[in-house]
Amino acid sequence: MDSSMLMAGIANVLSWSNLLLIIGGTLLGMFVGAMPGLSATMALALLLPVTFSMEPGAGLSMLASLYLGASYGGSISAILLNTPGTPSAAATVLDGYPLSQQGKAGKALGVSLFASFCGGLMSGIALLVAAPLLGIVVLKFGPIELFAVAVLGITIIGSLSQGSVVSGLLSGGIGLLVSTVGMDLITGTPRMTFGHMNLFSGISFTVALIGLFSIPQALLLIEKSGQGKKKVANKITDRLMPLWADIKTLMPNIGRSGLIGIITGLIPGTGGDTASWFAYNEAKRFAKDKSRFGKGDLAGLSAPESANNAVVGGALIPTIALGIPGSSSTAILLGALMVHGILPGPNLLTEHGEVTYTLIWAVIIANFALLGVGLMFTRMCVAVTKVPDGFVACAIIVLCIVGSFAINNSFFDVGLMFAFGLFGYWMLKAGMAPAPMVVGLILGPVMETSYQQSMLIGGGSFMVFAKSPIALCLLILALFSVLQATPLLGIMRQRFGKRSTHSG
Amino acid sequence: MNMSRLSLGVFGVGLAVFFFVQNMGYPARAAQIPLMFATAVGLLSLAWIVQEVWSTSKLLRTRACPSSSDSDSISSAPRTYNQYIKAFSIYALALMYAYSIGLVGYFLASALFMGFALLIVREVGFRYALIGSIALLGTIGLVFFYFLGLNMPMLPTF
Repeated sequence: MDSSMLMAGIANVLSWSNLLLIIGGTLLGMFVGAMPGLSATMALALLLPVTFSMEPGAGLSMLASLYLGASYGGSISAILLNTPGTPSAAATVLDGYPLSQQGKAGKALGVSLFASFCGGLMSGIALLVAAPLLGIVVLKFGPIELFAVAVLGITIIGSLSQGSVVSGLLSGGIGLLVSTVGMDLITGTPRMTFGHMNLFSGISFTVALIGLFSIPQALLLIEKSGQGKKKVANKITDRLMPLWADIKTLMPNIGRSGLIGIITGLIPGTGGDTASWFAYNEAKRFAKDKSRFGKGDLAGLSAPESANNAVVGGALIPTIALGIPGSSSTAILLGALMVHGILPGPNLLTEHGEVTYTLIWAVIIANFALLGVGLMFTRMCVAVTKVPDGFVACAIIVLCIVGSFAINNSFFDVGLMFAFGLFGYWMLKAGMAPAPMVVGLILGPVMETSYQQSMLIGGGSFMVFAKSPIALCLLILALFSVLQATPLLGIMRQRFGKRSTHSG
Repeated sequence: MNMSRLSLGVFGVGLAVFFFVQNMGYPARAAQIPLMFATAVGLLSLAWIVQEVWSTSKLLRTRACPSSSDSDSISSAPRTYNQYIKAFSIYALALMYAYSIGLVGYFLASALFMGFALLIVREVGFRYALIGSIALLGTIGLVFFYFLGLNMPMLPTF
């Protein structure tokens, strides 16, 4: 670990301007998370253009704190409205809402905030320790290994994302295909541009992001709006600060859930929602009195909250060390780096170490900001949860237009954003996750460049991938990640099972 | 059968064929990766279509008689249809809004969009819409136009 970069990173984060951005980002994230129907990914995509004019470290600090803030914010509407603000807060509803019905909304929110803080802090420390260690290993990677890493990234995120494995891989494949539009990096041939100058530099990743994550969300909110259902939130009548006795009892559960969150975050394609359900089940399994779960048990509330915030740091480990985003939100953080000319890959921790360490420290500091901001402003979020869906949807569209225009000051990008938005809506209706497509858009150029370089090294032979043990292992893993999600593996297991019983 | 899935599968095949055919005309090294990706997308789209058709036929075979959920889905169909119309109306309005920015400037276009869109949505009162829109446009003006110096026409150019 380069200590000078480590120190430079912390010095960057602790500047007044960055601290203000972290607090602002956390507050914004909390508000967005508290609004049912809005996801952290969407908020990140909309905020991304705002960070263009900032220093890379400052912009990333703000985005990372928004991500953390939204992870906690999701629990506010889950506890008060019985509706998770973000998908990762779905498990929080089970024990959070019964607590608020018992007049303990403040206690529930306090415990949720403290669990989020602990989970987030644990993952921040894990990120600070693991990413540089993994980075040292990755430094030994050449283009052959990088190609294999990219293949593994896309197959894992495709096969583990929501829906069937075919849908995930297809989504990723479309992302890869779309990423080939524009000037070919090796030969300089303009591909699929049809003489249109705006397409020569390829399709802007940020434009696709805003369209894929924000427009479908707005259209879904419009669909939901005007159904005559008024949002009724429970009031916070008790104290928000959790009791020391409660914290002491919950600590082992919070620690275990945080660990679950970090490990889940490490696996590309699995996000806060998977981690929170996993942690909730484990908390129930370890509980002495399981019958209290679902009726307002603090362990059932703190487990998912600790896990979903721990995912943030966990998902950033492969993002920073390998350049493979672990989730759609970390894909946006990677996109923010790309906007500033920092390309994903092993050089993130060396050549651009100062910026990367700023991001890592920002994740840690943002947890303290979350604790402070959460204690001060959670009561205000009650008002935010009541904003009508229809108004939020229209506001999102207005922000999408100004955000997509800001990328290149071009109305062409606005049109492209709308096209991606419509496609994202279609994907949503078909049950196809947009996250693998976004990852495909990021990994496409990485995959193509490393493939071309590998072919040059191997003299045009595919055997070059078999000659590198690391690449071979990664490619086998990629193949296995696809096969494990197909019926093929089940059939093979059945056949082998039968054969062994016959022979036995 | 989920028509969204089926149509997306068909779209995937079409997209793959389109990319494949177009890339055939490029130099071999420039076309190599797009051809691989197009082949993969084409095959996966076909698999997606087969999966959808197969799962629907399996569902039809197992369903012996119409259940109560069928009648529920029939009664909720008009509401779903209306929701789609509302969503697509706002989408069409948003396209017009984006086009009109070049003509009447961002603030006037945004105000008109918010007004018409909230009228279609019919969820908020006049006062809420007015105060909310002013707050939203004020924040955007401050952040994007004042701090970030966005180069977008703010006011009418005629």
